[in-house]
Amino acid sequence: MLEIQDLHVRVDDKPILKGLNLHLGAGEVHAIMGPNGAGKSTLSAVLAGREGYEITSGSVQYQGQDLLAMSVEERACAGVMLGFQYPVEIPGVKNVYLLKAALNAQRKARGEAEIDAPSFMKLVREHLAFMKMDNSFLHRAVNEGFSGGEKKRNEILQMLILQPHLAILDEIDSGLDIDALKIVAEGVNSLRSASRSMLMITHYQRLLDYIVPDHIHVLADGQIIKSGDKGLALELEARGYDWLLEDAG
Amino acid sequence: MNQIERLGDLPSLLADPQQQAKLTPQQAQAAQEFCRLGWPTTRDENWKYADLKALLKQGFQWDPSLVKLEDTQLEAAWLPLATAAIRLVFVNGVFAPEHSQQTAHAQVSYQVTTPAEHPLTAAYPAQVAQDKKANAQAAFCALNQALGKTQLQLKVQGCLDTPIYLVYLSTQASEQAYLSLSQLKVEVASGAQATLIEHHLSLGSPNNCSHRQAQIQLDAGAQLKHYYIQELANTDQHLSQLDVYQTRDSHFTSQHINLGGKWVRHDLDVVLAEPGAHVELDGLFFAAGRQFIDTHTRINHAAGHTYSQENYKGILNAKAQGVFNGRVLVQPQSQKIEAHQNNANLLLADGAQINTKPELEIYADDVKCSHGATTGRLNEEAVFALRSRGIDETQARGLLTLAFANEILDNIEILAIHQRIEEAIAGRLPAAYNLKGVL
Amino acid sequence: MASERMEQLVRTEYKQGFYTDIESDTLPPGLNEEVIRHISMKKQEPEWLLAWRLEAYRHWLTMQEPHHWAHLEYPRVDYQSISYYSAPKSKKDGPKSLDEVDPKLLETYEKLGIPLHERAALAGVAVDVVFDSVSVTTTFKEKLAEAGVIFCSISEAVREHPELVRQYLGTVVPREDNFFAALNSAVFTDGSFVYVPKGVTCPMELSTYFRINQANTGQFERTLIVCAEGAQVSYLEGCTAPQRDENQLHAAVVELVALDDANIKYSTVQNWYPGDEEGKGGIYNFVTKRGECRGDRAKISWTQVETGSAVTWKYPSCVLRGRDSVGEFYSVAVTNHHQQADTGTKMIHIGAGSRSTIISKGISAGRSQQTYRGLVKVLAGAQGARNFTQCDSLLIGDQCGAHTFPYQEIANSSAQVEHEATTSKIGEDQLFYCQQRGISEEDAVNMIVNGFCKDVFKELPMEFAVEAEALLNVSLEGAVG
Repeated sequence: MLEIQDLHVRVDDKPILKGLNLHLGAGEVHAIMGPNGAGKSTLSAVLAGREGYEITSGSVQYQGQDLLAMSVEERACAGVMLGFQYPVEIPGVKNVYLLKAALNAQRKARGEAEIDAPSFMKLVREHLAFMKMDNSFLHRAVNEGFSGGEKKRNEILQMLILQPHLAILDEIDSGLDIDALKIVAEGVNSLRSASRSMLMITHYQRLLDYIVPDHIHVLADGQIIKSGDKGLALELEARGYDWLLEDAG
Repeated sequence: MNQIERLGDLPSLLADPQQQAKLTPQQAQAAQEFCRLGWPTTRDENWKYADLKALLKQGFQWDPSLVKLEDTQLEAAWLPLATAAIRLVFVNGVFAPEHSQQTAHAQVSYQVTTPAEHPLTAAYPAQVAQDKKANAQAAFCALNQALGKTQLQLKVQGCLDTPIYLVYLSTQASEQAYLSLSQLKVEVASGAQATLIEHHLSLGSPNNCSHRQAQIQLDAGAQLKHYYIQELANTDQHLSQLDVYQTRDSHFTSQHINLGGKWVRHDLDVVLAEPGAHVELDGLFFAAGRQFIDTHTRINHAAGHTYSQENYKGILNAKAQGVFNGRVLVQPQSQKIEAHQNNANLLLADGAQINTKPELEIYADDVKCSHGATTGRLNEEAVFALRSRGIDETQARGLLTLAFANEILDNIEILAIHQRIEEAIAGRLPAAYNLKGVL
Repeated sequence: MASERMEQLVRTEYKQGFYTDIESDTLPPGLNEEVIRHISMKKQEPEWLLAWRLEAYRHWLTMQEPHHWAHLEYPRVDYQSISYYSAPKSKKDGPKSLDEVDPKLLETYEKLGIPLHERAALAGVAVDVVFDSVSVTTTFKEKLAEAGVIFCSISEAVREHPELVRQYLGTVVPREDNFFAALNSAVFTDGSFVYVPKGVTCPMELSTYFRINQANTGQFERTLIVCAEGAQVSYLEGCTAPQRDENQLHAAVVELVALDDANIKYSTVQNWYPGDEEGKGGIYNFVTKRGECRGDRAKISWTQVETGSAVTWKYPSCVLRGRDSVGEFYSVAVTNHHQQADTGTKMIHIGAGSRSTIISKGISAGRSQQTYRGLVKVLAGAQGARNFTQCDSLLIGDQCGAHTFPYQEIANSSAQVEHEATTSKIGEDQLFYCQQRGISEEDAVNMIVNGFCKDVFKELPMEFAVEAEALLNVSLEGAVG
């Protein structure tokens, strides 16, 4: 699904990622953890195609394509979707418009016809109910005046509707209380399938209690310094990152 | 020439080559400039509400030999500052060394000179400012240059932890009203810091007219806190032009308080010439009776990565008239700037009037700008809340009016100033508000 | 966002830029009393109106073109190089029915999307069409007459309802009000007249479509709408012109009068030719629009979507004379390429309890300059007057400018006046978010811009809201930020 090789990225001439390697197979869920400033959010931004990141070397293959050569929308239409750490507010643009425009753009890219209104509304309502969201969400402007938990639930709602092949969840747990976290995790878990991969970026082990990853990587100073199974998360929880950083020298 | 029957006739008088011959060449040039410009009229957008007609009908004299200060109560009038680095007193624009406290400080140097000896040049290079609308008081500044007798030059070279206190007194010099013209030039060197207090007040009830032109230059990283406190008598007339020129990473904050004066006009022009320049302008004007107070501010973002914030409040009572015109200009090359401006006004009586215009003129796209202007009365819910705690309605209104002013006053760090202004406002509010006992 | 990319994307074709080759009766360029007499004669006007025009003209001669205060830069107009009257030639004195209208004209309006045959016309919308200096036809006149509503060209109104015209003409915008109003009063040619009698709610939307066709011709239309006590009307004007290299002048006057409890909603979709990408050609749109809420509880609402014209100078205003009267101004203005617009509103609160709302959304792209200029004036007697103003600017590209000059003149202590304004560019974060969901940059901009303008579009009559949105998208085609 995703093959990152020796990725080097600079921001404002400062190297952030320094030779990152990652293999993410179809149907796998990987978690990336690490201390502040390790480059976790840079990785998600580069995968989604945000401007302002200079890729100095390395490659990213997604389903056999050169991901870095694709535009932001091309990536999205090819099924790469980023769940934002801080979803932006777009005043005046209703959620329902954004969802419909996005879904149709992606369908068009796949050569499918635009979805008809009744099917669309049916689809949206099902997922809304699943995410325990009110119908009024649809008619509110995108993220405007949403609480932190509502914004994150909205991100997952969009994923349920757009059905990406590769979901990147950037600190999807930040700012959530335990109830909201459970709802978000339930949404994410329902998306797990043999054909869909996920990359979760998180600070806290807590999220991994609810979304159990297949693999865990520790990112520090722009590189993955340790990989393991979910047991690694418990070890990190017990011992922190310092022992790993020391081991890595 | 030391006096005139009608101020309005000054341009025709000064146009006389014989009069000009008595001036230095630079002053004569300024006189010609003044004659060329003439008095501004209400047809000029900058002077739309500021009608000079009444002022121009009055007669004035400006003979410095007539200025005497007998009053020993002078010291009761000025601010009881715990410490001041220096205190310089000007009476009708003329330096009064006998009342000044001229302590030597390594961080600050000054000299009192004249416009004739040191003509003020432009406050900043014109190509930096690129602002046609600036310098609204050009005619008055030219007049000040041509006929003014006093210029104070101040240089701050280090971190001065006590304030520089300038007292400008207006007093009845003779039978005839006095026209006082003074200039102030302040330079804060790179990395230096200072607090400057300018205090304008009257002794008795003179009907003078004062014009003060000031230039402040902040070098890289310099910081200046400027307090401008105008407590002139309600018979006095006053105009002031302030040009602030800010270079890289300099920081200017201004607390501009206007309580007195019959007819008052301010122009405050700030040029943010280099990245990192930061300005905060706070102002409060309170006019009652038939007072007229007009404040024009212009903030010119002439470089990217500059920041401005402005908050002006006006309280108008009786038949007073207030004008606020706040202009923010963002030049084409000035990306990544932030500019916020707010003006709120409170009208306490039906005869009072406010004319406000917050202007944004933006030629760059990567900007965060906002402005707001509100005019209204007190929040009736707040009045109700206070009444429900047993405070009677008029006193509740008084308290809330004071609270409105306090949003500005709370940024005044010098306690003596804060108290003085708060008491002055309480004293100027209707007696029925009964605030004396509360403060 | 790289600015070259935006430049590339800012490409629009003006779809109404064609010229209709039709034989016309056009006065030679120039302006003097003879020209005014000629116009008046052509229109078979009564003596009082000619005298009224001449007085306006004599006053105009003493006035100066307002160049000093508006935030606009354009060469002075040569008023002697303009023709003040141009009408398509017709065999008879004027077409009595649509069958007599020149087929070329009908074709022109078909092409503009305004079919004039009632059977094909927009359901529920009556249209008056003004071609250069004359009204060509007015649809649904009989149906309106049944309800007692008068809807015709102003020339016809002068002939058929002189007492009404004389009672109201120039009472809201006096002849000497400003330079362009004085010029218009002297030379106005055609425009629409609406009278809705007491208690009547006009049964359909009224609309006038203005078209400038001939070269070197100015259009000086005059519109007068009067709603008697308790009457209601919704009116919409649309404007287009052929694509030409030289600038053409459009100096209209619109007067609205609302008596007690009357309600007038006036909407404009202004799409005059804006000039080409280099700023060559285009219409000078110098318009005086003012409504007076003369009666208690009267309401006047202006909604405008402005995408055209090279230079716009326009401040639809409300004089709120009646007690508890209401004024509203909703505006979306889009400028692109080298367009300049200085536009806004005036709300004059005279009556106690009068309320006004101003929502202005400006979008500047390309090298255009846009100014919001507004006045909220509360007179001493306007006890309890209220105003709320929201004024937002959106910048697309780094070559354009957005300026805000709101005046508040408040002389009543119980008035509540609030003004809020913001200026920002389309956020890169917002675009990225949409793009990350697979929406193209262009569609994302359109979505965001439409969201930005939503508060205004919802004020437009249903039939035109869709048109306005489409127009906006075309005007900004690709103007990505």
